[in-house]
Amino acid sequence: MPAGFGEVPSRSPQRPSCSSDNNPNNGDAGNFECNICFDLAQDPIVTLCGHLFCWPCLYKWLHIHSHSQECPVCKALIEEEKLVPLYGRGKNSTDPRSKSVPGVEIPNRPAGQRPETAPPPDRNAFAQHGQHGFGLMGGFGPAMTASFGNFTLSFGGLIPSFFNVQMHAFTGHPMYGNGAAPAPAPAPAPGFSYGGHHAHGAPQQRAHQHETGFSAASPLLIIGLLFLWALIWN
Amino acid sequence: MATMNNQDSNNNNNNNNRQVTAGPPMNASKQPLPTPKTVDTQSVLKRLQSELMALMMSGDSGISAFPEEDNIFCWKGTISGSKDTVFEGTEYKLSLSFPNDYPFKPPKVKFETGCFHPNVDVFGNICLDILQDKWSSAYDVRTILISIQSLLGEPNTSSPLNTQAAALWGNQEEYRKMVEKLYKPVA
Ligand SMILES: [Zn+2]
Ligand SMILES: [Zn+2]
Repeated sequence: MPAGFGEVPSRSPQRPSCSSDNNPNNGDAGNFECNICFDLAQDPIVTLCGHLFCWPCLYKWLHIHSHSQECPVCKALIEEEKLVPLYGRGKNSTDPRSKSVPGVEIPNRPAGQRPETAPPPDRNAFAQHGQHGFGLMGGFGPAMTASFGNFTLSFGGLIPSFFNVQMHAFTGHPMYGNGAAPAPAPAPAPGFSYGGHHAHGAPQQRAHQHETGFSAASPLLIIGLLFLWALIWN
Repeated sequence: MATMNNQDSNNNNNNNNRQVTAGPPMNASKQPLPTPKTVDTQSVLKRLQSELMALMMSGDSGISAFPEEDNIFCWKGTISGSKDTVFEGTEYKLSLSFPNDYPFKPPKVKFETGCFHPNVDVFGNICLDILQDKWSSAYDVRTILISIQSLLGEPNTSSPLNTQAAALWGNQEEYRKMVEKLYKPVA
């Protein structure tokens, strides 16, 4: 309604509240606003440069109005196959606007690209990988932690400690990077600082990142124990 | 603006329109409801409304903007000349008119107050790349006004609309005198 200006004094105090209704700018929701419509992003999609949009908004910008493939915010190149959809919890909403743009068919939002399922952190992983040579390294860390939690499993942990010497030879092998580390692994250097010939490099470190509450001192402890047992068994 | 040719908009549109009127009196309640064909108008209204809120909250100094009384697609803005430029102490009114496909297309922005500037012509037209081919849908009224404000102090004299101003720019003292001479503040 076109409220009369006589109401201004009574309206002014309401401004903050009406702005929070209509415009989440001031709250945390501001981080989830589309950079084009300034509204809460619907069918949210994120560019590689990290900018959030509604999929229909970004599509319209890229295909109808702009003749470049630039991010509206930072001008970075946008490659559509590299867009990342955001799936929050709850309904798979479809933006009503995507249906109602005259003469424009907005395709479905690009789907997420799902990497392989992470290997289960148990001994089976070791057993399977143990037969495949290189794959062993992926299962090695988890096997060690299992041996830490349960003494009866320590035998399983013992075998890797023998293999370990062989694994050293692989570290310089091209297969090492391709096969064992699908994600960029931390630099091997800190791993080697564990000392001795039990240093495992990057895969070892990655495995430990999966274990919450697993202190940095623990690997040393296990390695020490394994080393002792290895001596005894020999 | 919304066209008159279709009245069968649903209640949703109606409700959304009412939100718009939370600000100053706007056209929404006087105009016919947006037609289904211009559902996009709805998002334009929403975005302009959120820009208005943000502008009112931001308290930027030296720039301001507000919709005209009866049309949220037409805004009046003001910018003041920045300190330490030849435009210091002057204030300029601008008009911004938003297309139906805003923010995918830029608004038309013109000086209403005469501005003696290399990139502003006698009709108030502005030559600024972000208002033409460098427009991005992530820009808003605020970034436009800030850009124009900085354009005042940093003109592009290589492709001027006002050649006289461009020629004089090198002599800042004379330029300042010219600005003062030609400046006609709007009441
Ligand atoms: Zn959007
Ligand atoms: Zn970006």
